[in-house]
Amino acid sequence: MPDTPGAPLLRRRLVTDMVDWNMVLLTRRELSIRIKILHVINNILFPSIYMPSSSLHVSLQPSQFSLPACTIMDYSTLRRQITFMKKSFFDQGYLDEQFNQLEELQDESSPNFVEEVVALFLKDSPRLLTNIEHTIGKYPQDFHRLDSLVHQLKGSGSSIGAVRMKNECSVFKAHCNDKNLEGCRRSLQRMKREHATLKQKLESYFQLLRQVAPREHAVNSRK
Amino acid sequence: MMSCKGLGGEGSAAAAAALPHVLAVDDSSVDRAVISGILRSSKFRVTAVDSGKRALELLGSEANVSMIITDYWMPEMTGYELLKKVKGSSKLKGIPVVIMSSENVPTRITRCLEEGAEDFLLKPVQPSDVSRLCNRVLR
Repeated sequence: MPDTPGAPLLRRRLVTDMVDWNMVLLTRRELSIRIKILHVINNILFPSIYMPSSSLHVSLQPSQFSLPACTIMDYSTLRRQITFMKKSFFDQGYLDEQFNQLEELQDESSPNFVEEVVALFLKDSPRLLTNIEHTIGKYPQDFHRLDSLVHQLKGSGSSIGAVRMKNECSVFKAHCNDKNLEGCRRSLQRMKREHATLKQKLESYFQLLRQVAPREHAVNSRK
Repeated sequence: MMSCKGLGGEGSAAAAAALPHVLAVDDSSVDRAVISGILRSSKFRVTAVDSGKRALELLGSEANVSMIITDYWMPEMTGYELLKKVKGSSKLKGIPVVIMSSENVPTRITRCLEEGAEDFLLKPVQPSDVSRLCNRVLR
């Protein structure tokens, strides 16, 4: 087969994407394994133009792996999407450094730690919002109870880095302190909107993460 | 009640049992999960309960608790009340107690420290806070 135009560029791009992927995620040993896989894939795709050096002799047989070249590109794209999405959460003020702290606690024994903690928050917070709404509607007003409920919501929101939720809870608490029921009502509506937005964003984020997680687990299992 | 092994699932039960055992007390499920995760990452064995009452039940049945870390503001029994009960018990008074709170109230902090609390941490608790604290208290 003659050398096809653009093939060396494609090979370089595949290597670059693989290296990007590796630089984000992998140790040196994993990098070495990935590069070996990449050269095998290159050999399959472009057998006439691929000339591996002796130092990159590949002992893997093609049947020993099942990662088509397009999946590697998709993974790299997904990873970039996840990074940009998370950055937008911080830039738009939805999350703060506490979220990063939680992600740093993730390890092989708790690979989904952050998602689990966020799931607890998303399970607990609607109940608190409902209780707050119910308490606002009661007469006589019970600002002490309202303060206690929003204190819980503020605390758990703060623990996952939900800074907009936390700030709105502070506004609500200030209205409670002033015994300003109308202020509490308006603040509650904003809290509910912030909560709905945060829920949608985080669910999208973890949905993306789950798409890359099976690959990472498969790669780790080859060690 | 949540129990988290400090070895990430690996190692024998005997090895896990040799790790310092920290009792975490918080009525918030989110905060229990976070403090348990932080303690686990620092290689501690963690038992998490949701109230002071459950904490005392566990302390009564199992003496092998190296430290208690408790939220201040809990229904029925506050962390301060739990602290007083622990320090008032001849069996439990030697266990270090750390209080956590999301509110920076100087009189509250002073009161807890005077009652014998080892430290007072502001929420959200950082891994560095817990690591520094446990190194000082437990090692």
